[in-house]
Amino acid sequence: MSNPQTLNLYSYVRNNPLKYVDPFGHQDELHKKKGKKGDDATDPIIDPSSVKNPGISVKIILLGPVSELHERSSSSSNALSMIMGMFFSRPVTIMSAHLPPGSWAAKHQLVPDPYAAVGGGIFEEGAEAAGGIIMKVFGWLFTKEVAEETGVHLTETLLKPGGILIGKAGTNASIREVNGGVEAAETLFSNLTKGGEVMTNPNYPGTLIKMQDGQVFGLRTIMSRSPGTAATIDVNSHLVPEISKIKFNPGGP
Amino acid sequence: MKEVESIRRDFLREASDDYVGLWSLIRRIKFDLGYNDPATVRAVTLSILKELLAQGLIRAGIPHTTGDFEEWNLSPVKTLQRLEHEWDGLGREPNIGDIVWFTSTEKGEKHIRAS
Repeated sequence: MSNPQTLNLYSYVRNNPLKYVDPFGHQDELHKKKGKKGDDATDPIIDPSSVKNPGISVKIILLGPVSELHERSSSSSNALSMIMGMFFSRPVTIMSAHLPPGSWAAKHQLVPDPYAAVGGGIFEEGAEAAGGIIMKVFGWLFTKEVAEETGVHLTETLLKPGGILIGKAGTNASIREVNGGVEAAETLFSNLTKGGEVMTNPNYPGTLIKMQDGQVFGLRTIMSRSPGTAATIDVNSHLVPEISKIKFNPGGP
Repeated sequence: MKEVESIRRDFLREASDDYVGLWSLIRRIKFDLGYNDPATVRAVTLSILKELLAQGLIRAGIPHTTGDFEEWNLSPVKTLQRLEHEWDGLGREPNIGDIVWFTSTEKGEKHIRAS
C-alpha cells in the first residue's frame, strides 16, 4: 500500500478531486487528457472562477462509454456529487445522457430515458456552468467543444446516443418517433442547432437552421399530416445520415 | 444495401403519413443506395418521382404553417420540368425545404394499403 489515504473509505481520490479521478469507485488515477501535447496531468484542473453564471446549479452529464457507466457504483456517484457540490458551492446533479433502460443510471432513477437528459435542458445549463471543466475531472464527454475534440460530435451524442438511434422507427427506419410534445422538440432542436444560422426559405413551414459544418435542421410545430404528431424535426446531417426526421408524439411513439 | 424499389416504396409510405421534401428522397438515395455522383443521384431521384407522379400516387406542392398544402397543379411532365428548372436554378443539391414537397394521393394511399 503506497498511500495510507487509500485506506480511508470515506475519502474520495485522496481528497484531491482536482488531480485524481476514480470513475469506478475502486482506485484513483491521474487525470489524463488525450492528444494535447504539453498538457501535463498535474496542471490545475479546475478553476472555479472560470465557472459562468455562478447562481445556477451545476448539472453533470455523464456521457462516457456505457460499459463504464454500468460498472459505476452509486456511492461513487454520490461522492462525486457531494465533493463537486462543495467545490462549486452549489448543488451538483450527476446525470447520465445515454444509458438505456435497465442500466445502472436507470436503476438509480437518474435518467431512465436517453432523451430525458436532452429534454431537461442539461446541455444548455451544464455547458454554461461547467464547460470543459467536467471533462477534465471525469474524463467523459460534456460540451460540444469537448465532444468535437474527442471525435464524437454533439449531433451524434444527441441523435445516436451510445450508437443507438433515438426513438423508434416510424414508417421507415430513417423516421424516428419519440415520446414528447412541442416543448421537447424545441429543446432538442435548440441543442442540435447551437451556433447555427437561421435560414430563410419560404418553402419551409417552420424554423430552418444551418450549421457551420453544413448540417441543416428544421423544426415544424404545426404542419404535419400525422394526427398524433405535435412537432417534427427534419434532419439533414452527414454525421447521422440514418435519420431524416424525428417526430414528437405526445402520446408516445 | 437497399434497392431503388425499396426507396420508392418507403417514400410513398412516408408521403402517406407526412409531407416529404425533395431533399429527403435525395438523402435516401445517397445513403441507402450509396450513390454519390450528383448526376446519378439526380437521375435516380427524377426516375422515382416520374413513376410515382405518372401513376398518380403522389402530388407536388408546398406545405404551409397553416397546414394547407398548396399544390402545383401541374401534369406529371410539367411537374418534373418545373422541378428540374428550379433544381438547375438552385445550383446545388436541394436541402431541407428547397423546391418542392410531396404527399400521397388517395390512389397512393390505396396502393400502400394494398401492398
